[in-house]
Formats: sequence, C-alpha cells, structure tokens
Amino acid sequence: MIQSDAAASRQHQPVPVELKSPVNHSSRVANPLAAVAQRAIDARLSSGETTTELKVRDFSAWYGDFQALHNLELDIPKNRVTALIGPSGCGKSTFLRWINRMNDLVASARCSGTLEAGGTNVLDRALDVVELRRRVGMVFQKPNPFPKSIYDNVAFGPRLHYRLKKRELDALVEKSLRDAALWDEVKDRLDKSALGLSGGQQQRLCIARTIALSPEVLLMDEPCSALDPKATRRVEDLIAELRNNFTIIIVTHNMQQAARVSDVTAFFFEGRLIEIDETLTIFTSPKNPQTEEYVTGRFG
Amino acid sequence: MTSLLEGRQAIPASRRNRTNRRFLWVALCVTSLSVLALSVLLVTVLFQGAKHLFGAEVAVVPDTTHLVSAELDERGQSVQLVTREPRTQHLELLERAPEGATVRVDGADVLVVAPDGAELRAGTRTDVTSAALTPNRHAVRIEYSELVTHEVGLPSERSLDGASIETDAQTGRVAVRYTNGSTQIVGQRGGTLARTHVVGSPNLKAAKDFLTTPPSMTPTNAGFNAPLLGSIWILVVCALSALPLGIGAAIMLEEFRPRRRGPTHWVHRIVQTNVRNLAGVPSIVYGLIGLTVFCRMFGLFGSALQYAPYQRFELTDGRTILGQLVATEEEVYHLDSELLGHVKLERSSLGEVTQWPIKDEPIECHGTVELNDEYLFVVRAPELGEITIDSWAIEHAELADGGPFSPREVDLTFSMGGQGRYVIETPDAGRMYVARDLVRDTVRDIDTVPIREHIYRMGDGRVLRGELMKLNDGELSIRRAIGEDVTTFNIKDVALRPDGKPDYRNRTMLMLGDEDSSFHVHFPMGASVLAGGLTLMLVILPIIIIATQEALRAVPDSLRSGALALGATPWQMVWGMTLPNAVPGIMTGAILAMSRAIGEAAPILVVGGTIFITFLPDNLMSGFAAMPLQIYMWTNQPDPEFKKVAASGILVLLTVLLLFNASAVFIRQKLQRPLT
Repeated sequence: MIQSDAAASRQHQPVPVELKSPVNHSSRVANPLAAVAQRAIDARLSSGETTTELKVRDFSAWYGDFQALHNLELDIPKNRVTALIGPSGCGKSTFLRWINRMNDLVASARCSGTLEAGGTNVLDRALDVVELRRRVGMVFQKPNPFPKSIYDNVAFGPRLHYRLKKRELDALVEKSLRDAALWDEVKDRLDKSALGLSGGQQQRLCIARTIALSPEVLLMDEPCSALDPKATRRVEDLIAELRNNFTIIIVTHNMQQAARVSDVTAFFFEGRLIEIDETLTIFTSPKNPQTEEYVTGRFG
Repeated sequence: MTSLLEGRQAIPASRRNRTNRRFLWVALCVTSLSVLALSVLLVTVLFQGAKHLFGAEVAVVPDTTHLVSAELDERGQSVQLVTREPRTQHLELLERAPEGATVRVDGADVLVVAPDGAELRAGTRTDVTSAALTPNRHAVRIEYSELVTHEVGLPSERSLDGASIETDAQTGRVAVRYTNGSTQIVGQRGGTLARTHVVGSPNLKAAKDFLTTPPSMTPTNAGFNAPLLGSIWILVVCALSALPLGIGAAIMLEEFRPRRRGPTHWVHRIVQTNVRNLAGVPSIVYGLIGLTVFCRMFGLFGSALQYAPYQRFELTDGRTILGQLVATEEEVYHLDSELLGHVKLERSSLGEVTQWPIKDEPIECHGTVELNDEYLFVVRAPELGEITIDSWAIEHAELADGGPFSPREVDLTFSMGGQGRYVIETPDAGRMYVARDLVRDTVRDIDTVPIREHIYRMGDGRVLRGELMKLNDGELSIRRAIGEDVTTFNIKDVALRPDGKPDYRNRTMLMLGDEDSSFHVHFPMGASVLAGGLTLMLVILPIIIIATQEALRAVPDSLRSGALALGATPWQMVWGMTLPNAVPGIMTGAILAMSRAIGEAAPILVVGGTIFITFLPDNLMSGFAAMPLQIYMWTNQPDPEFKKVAASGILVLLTVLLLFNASAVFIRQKLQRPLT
C-alpha cells in the first residue's frame, strides 16, 4: 500500500489550484463545510487571477538518515490560506520550517530539490536567511512573546531591519496591533509586559509582531493548538482577515479548522504529499481514498 | 482478572517513613554541627577582630557570685577580683569507718571519730563548712570554700586616674567607672562574655584608623589600607578584564556553537570540556601561568625594571656607580641609580661592569654574628654593613655546635634563599633563615642599616652604607654610615651629574603611555597591579564562562526561534534577546566569582604580591599588597597580638565579601523576571 503511494506521489504532478480573488466572508457559518462551499462560490464568482507564491519541485528533506519528506511537488497560491493537514510525523511542520529556513538551526536537517518563494530559491546557500525571514514570517505553536513590553515586542522586528523614528515606529506598532485585532485590548498598556496577556492575546501579539515586517508569506505552525476554543476563534477570525494581504500557510491537526480557515488544503501522509486541492474538494470529494479516510476521521 | 500483587504483603508505610525520618535526623545533626562550627568560627573572629577594629575587647569576665572584694590596681592597670568559690571534696579513708562513727572538724583537721572514741585523721583543709561520712563510710565528704583571685586587665590607653569600682549587689556586676563617665564591666554573676573595653558606642575612630593606616610590624599600629586598596585595584582590573572576556567566550561557546560535525565541532567540544576542567584547577597553577605570561611575558620584552639586575659600573677614572641599566644608546648608557637618580654615562668612560651580587649571588664575607642585650641578632661584615634582626623574626637557626649562642667571628655567606628568605650561612655557626620582609622592616624599625640598595661606593673608592636621607642642592646626606663618619658631602664628589627624567626610548622594556599617568603600561608587567588583576582574571574566567553559559542556557529556545524568525542575525538575537534575559544569572555568577577572587592568596603570592608595603598603589604598574596575603602574614606572626589584627583583617575581608554577595542578591531580585 505504501509502495503504491510512493509510486503515485512520484508521478504526482502539481495540481493547478485556480482561485479567484479573495472575498471577505465576514459572517461565520456554523457548519465549516458550508463556509468552505460559500467561499468557493465567492471565489468562482469573483474575477481576477491567482498567482503562485511558492513553487515546490522535487523537494525532499532529511533528518540525518531519516527521510522526512519525499519529492514534494506543489504550488501554493498567493494571498490565499493554504492548510497543511495530516497525522503527526507526516512532515508538514518540517516542510513549513524549510520555507523560512528555520531548519538551518537543526544540525542534522538537510534537503534537496527546489523551493521558490516569489521567484527566489529559498534553498540557495548564498541566500541571506535574515532577508528571507523578513519576507517569510513565522508564528509558532506555543505563543512565545518576548519578555519585554507589548510595544517592544511589536517593534522588535522593525528595529532589526530598519532605522525608524519614534513617530514612525509608533504608527507601525499601532497599525500592526490593529491589523492583528489586538489594539483595542492593549492600547492602554503598551508598556506593560507582554507576559501578562492571556494565551490568545499572546498569540495574536506574535502575529502582530510578525506582520509588522509586512512579510509576503506568513507561516503558522499549529497556531491554535495551545489555545482554548474562544481564543482559537479569535485567531481564526484574524487569519480570515489577513488572507487579503498575506499568503498564509497554516499547519493544523484540526480538520475543522482547516475547513474553516483555508482556501486550499494539502494532505500529507508519511512524508509524501497525497493530495492538494481546493479545501471544498478535499473535504467533499477527494480523489485519493486515503485523503477521504483521513478527512472523514476513519484514521489518523 | 486477579491482581499480580494478590496476597503480597505491602511494605508497611511506617517502615518506609522510618527511613525518611532517619535521613532527616542525620541531616539535622550534620546541619547543627556545621552551624555550631560556623558560629564558633564567627564568634572567635568577631571577638578577636573587634578589639583591634573597634578598640573593644570581648572576653569572659569572671563570675562574681561569691565576690569578696574588688580592687583597682592602678599600677598593674587591672582590677583584682577576689571570690570565695565553694568546693567539695571526698577524703578517702584507708579503711571503712566503723558503724556509728562521726566526723569532727578541728581547726584544719578533719577527724573521723569512732563510737569507741578513737579518732582518725581523714585529711586537712581550711575553711571547711560541712563534713560528713558518705553512706558507705569509705570517705568523708567535705564542703569548703577557696579564695580565688581574678585579674582583669584594663586597656592601657585608658587613664585610671579618678576611676572607681562599682559593684551592683543585685546583678553581681562589677564595673570600672572612668572619669569621663563611661563604664567597663569586669565581672558579672554567673560570668559571661562581655565587652571589657566598651566606651559608649564602638570606637569608630579605631576602625577608621585601621582602614586608613599602612601595615606595621607593631601590632597596635598595624593598619590595613595598603592591602585593602591593593585588593580593590586588582579586583577592578580583574572585573574589567574577566567580565567582557568571559561573557564573550560564553556567548561564543553557547550561542555560536557549530551545528554540524566537523573540525570546528571538535574544537568546540575540546574547549567546552576544558573550560569545565579549568574551573577545578588549583589557583596556584594560575599563579604560575600569570607569572610567565603577564609578569615576565616569556622574556619577550626584556626584563621589567623590578627584575633588572643591580650592577656595579666601574668607571675608567676609578669611580664606581651602583645602579640598573635602563637604556643604551650609541655612545651613552642610561643608568638608574638609587643614589643619583638618572645618570648618563659615556661608553668611553665606562670600565668594567659587574653585577652587584646582593641581588642574585651569595656574598662571601667574613664578619661577626652576635646576639645583643636586647635579643637583637646582629650580623656585621664589611661587605654587608650591619644587619640587625629581631630574634623572633628568625624563622630557623641551626647552630653547628649546638651550644649557647655567643658572639663569634665567622665566615658567612649571605644569599637570597627561596620563598622570600635570606639565608645567612656560617660554616661554624650554622645556617639561619630569615624572612626577607621581616628583615627589611625590622631593620627599618630599629633604625639600623637597610641591607639592600643602600651600599654606595664613592668616587674615591670609599664605601658608604646607610639610608639616603636627602639629596638636594648638590648635597647628599647619608645616615648611619659605617666605617666612614662623613654624613653630608658634595654630590660632585660622588659621581656623575643627575640628568632629569629617565629616557625610556631605547629601553629593552616596552612602554605604553606617559609614565606619570595612572594608566601607563610597561611590558613585561612585572609584579604590578595589572599583572595581579589579570592573573586573578585567569582564576575566575572559567567560573564566569560557566555561569554565563548556564544563564544563557536558561533562556528558553522559543525566544531564540522567535527572534530568528523575525529575521534577526545571530548577533542581534544574542544582543537583543538572550543576553538581556541572562543578565541576572550572569551577574550572580560574576559576583560570586569576584568573591572567590577577593579571597585568593596563592596566585597573588606567586605573581609577586607584596606582603609588606607601606605605600599605596596609584597606577597600573604599582606594586601591591592584597588582603588575604596580609592576613596570612599576620596570622603567621609569633606575637599573639597579631592574631587580633589578623581577625580585624578577616572582618574587613568578610564585610567586603558580604557586600559583594548582597549586591548579587540585589541584582538578581531587581532584574529577575519570568521569561515565558
């Protein structure tokens, strides 16, 4: 069975995911699948082109001798939310961490193939990762606000890359916090420690911190797994708002979440990309039986 | 399903608890013992040190429960307390007393009276208050009293004129009331520890004097300023060098560790392992490293001034100059002479140059050795002049014939022994070791001839020995010249003209900065504050590196990932994220390391910390003393008064140490905050 999958994925060609320009879907629908359907209809109705933000060809990754990813071939569309789903250890986080080269920090990690973001090869040894990470931001599983004030947390990134006047920085911090839907909650205590915020607020602060640099791609590694349902909802709402301006790639274990927030879903299994398609298709009529088993909860 | 533990007897909880309790008991005992030992130590040091530091003495005052009389002895500067102490004694009988026997006291005789009237003397004892046979009739138990005289010494600096004794019947307290109204307790009921030299509040002036006067060989005058200031200088040098270096090294080892296997990875492992090992290396080893690297600098820059040999420059016209060659030019030699200051010598006028032997080589001479009336040991020889040494300063003397010491004429060899000692060796009178520092001081104290650098050869061939008193207006005064009663003479008769400041341009030694500035440096560093501080840096560097590494490791990785994901370079991550959050840990480690540095004696000793100096260090190239060295030296003094001086020194050292630790705690409390 695994053999045949391997063969299948080797022959796998990138699925052209054609979506129209994003549409604001402000109202939440109780049934996530209904939301996806609504969004797909919106997309089809609206006009405009989608472009590919991330082009992945024959991408494999290893930890030492263990091959974590096998010959991935996929395109991730610009200004859309792409969800990576799959059981634990299927390689989706590994893939995410290669996109902004956070895996450089892991001694045993190496990879092959090409991974292009906005036309530049991310895996190029000569590429300056500092610059890459400004363009490809990342939000982690566990909220990791810096032990500094809320203001300094948001200003941390800009201060690394730019020389800004106080006034410019103030404006940037405010805008980022507003974009992260956190401004109203923290505007009176910007100089207080970020560690005093609740878990959900901390995670939104981390998102604000990342979008302060106006990255092109926003990577989110299970951003809601450490949060309670209420906070999860706030973050999901935020993702829905951010999809207009950022290409978002989100790793999640929660299939309902994938259905709720994403336009495109990619299913990973044992280091291979099994299927990538519009979220509605993945959840309603997947081509691969393994995907169907997984999304219907029969395994995984 | 049946449990596998079915039918098994559980170990009774009481037994398991017993083991627990046993451990706690052992721990409690050990802790109490340590606390006890520590308090004894602290109390000893405090009581000993308080005397010298605050002019207060803490001692056991006699029990006055049975006081008979208390009198002031103005001549002996003491109080005589007489008490009648109750005693009991058993007088054993040769054979058991017959039944019905009684005891009778007749004057000083204790008699056993048998029922038949026969009397047997059991013993004699005055002041018997009661006497009775013991139940088994083998002995007589007597109670008697004994007069005991306690003499309580009073501080010699207090005048007893008009002083009176006060006794308080209720508390049994006996005190001396001085004319200024202050009192001093000299006896108390039950006896107790009390300050016997209390004048109102602690005498802060005494403490100030101790901290601001130089060390001395007289215990009452001994101060602590030179070691205190020396320690501060070397600690500042040590902190300023060890902190940046240690923190930088730790950042390199921890935050920039090579991630992939390869040569750098192995180097990292080796360095990492050895930093840990180095923290356990005895400090004396660092002393040796410091001596080679800093004091001598592998001999790369020639010798330091301190190590430049004294040489005898014999001129072609027959005159002789004693000094150190500091620089040479084409045709001119520059000499530093103790007597003449800087001297320029034309090469053509220079005859033979010989090394002055007193520095390195033994001097063979014929002279006398005698022990004079004041128990001063006097060595006289034309080549040495007269050396007078307090007999207690002699560490070791072997007499060849073993007989009583009498003045004798001997051949003797005078040389620098190892371990800071002079060795005076006489074939027939044996060998004598004398601590070099003691000699110098002793000589100075008793106003005789210093033995080094004060032997002057005159232009006309005369030899003068003495202490240079004055050198101005072309006139030179030498005190206590031996074999020559000239004390003041025209400098023109002595040697060449003094010529301003030394010119260091062609000196073998490398000089950075103006010599008058506090921060000039010369290489090699010699026994200087800078060399001492850098050597201490070596001692604490591993500790600081390890503490910093631990502090950096305590910063969660999520913060590093967060910073890196925002596009921080590794240095930006360290500077903006990890280092600020590690500061409390680093400071704690650093200050504990400094606490270790302040107590180090061995490495300082090796790099040439001076045990006895009376001048204060005022620049990086000054010689220095250090607190632990001075304390060590005082505790080695035979005079018991020095024990108190040493205790005062320990108190000062402990205070500085406590301040350090308190600041560590303060910084930790102030800066520490949760990181996640």
